[in-house]
Amino acid sequence: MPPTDPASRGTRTAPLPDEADVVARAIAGDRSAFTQLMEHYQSACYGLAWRLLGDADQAADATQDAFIHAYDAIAKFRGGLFRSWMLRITANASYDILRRAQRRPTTTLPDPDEGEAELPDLGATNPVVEAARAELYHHLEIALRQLPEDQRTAVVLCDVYGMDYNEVAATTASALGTVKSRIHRGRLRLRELLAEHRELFER
Amino acid sequence: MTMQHESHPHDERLAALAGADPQATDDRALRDHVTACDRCRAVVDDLALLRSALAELPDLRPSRPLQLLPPVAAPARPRAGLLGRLRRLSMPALAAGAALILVGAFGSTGVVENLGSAAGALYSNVGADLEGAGASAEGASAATPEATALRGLGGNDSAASAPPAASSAGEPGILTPEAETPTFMAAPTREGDDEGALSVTSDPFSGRLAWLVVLGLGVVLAVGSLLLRFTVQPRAG
Repeated sequence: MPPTDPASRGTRTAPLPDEADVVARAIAGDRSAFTQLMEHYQSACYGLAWRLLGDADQAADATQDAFIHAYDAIAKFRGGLFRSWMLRITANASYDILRRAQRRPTTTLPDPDEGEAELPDLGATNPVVEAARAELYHHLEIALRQLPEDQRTAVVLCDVYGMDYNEVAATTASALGTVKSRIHRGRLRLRELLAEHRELFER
Repeated sequence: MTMQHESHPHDERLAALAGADPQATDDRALRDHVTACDRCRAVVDDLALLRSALAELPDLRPSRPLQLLPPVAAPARPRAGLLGRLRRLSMPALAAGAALILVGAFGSTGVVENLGSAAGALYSNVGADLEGAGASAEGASAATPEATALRGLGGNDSAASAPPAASSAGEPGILTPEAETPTFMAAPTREGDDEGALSVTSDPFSGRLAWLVVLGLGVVLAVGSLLLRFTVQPRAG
């Protein structure tokens, strides 16, 4: 079964109506156009950073770093989805922070149900999300946090943000086979963790 | 049952199939097995649902306001040329010039005269010693420890060879031009040592000259650095 288009549920930021024009102006040095793009995609970037880092402050730092990198690199933007380009930059900025923190790859994040960390209120961020989906997202986020860091990173980049294996390998500086294995093991582990909430997937 | 379990593909292969990995989807035996096996099909279906749900996870509002636009960076300063680098040295050079002017002015007025008397007295004493006459009271009075210390400024061997014993008599430290001049003029020269006599007689002048040279150097340095400061403009930025 192919993944559902996230835009169809209204949970992900859709491209700007005149995005090609705004991007072209930003490339030409129009700072207000660049600001418009960053404002539009900041939630997308922050969501990725938060899922990779598991910490609100670090996620904000990574997103801020990504904006600076984007500003420096926007002249090199060669078309395609601007959202995907920004997410790649954010993933790299987040991974830089992970590397600096030198966490062990098998580390899991604090369990939010034990009060060590807080999940964002996923239902409240988007009024379109119905209660049942909000509950599903909540359990998904908790399960993701229980994956070892190497698996979580790979699954988030591939399955949550749609990067292909090669992009994940490049972002995490890992071998292609290693990335595939992490993704596959991560999916299987998530299935185990979410077994008791299986009914939420079928609504 | 056991046979069926043993023939199941590895779960990671099923996860690859659920992710539409071409290596898995191109594996006909794997696909046939999943079609025929309830257990493996359930795994693949669950993983597909899982992926679908993961792909929906919503964007998140940042936990704090972010700066959307980096501040305008100052353009990189162009590398300073030779004049620019010299200009940066102008203030230290001005300070050094001012110091030299002060030292030179101070030395060429009061101190040098004292120095001259000290040196002259010292040399007269030297001459007296060399003549073997022990009555050189004025010379002895001038040959203070200060004079001994300043001998080097006279810059000649005769001064350097003055015996320490010369400081053993007289009031130390009182050097006056009145005392200096007759002693100096009367300073006897060593017989057959014209060169030494010449050195002794020209010493105060060369001492004053040295201070004047220092003063002049200071003036040149200060004026030069000021000119450099106000004629070479720093580059914009």
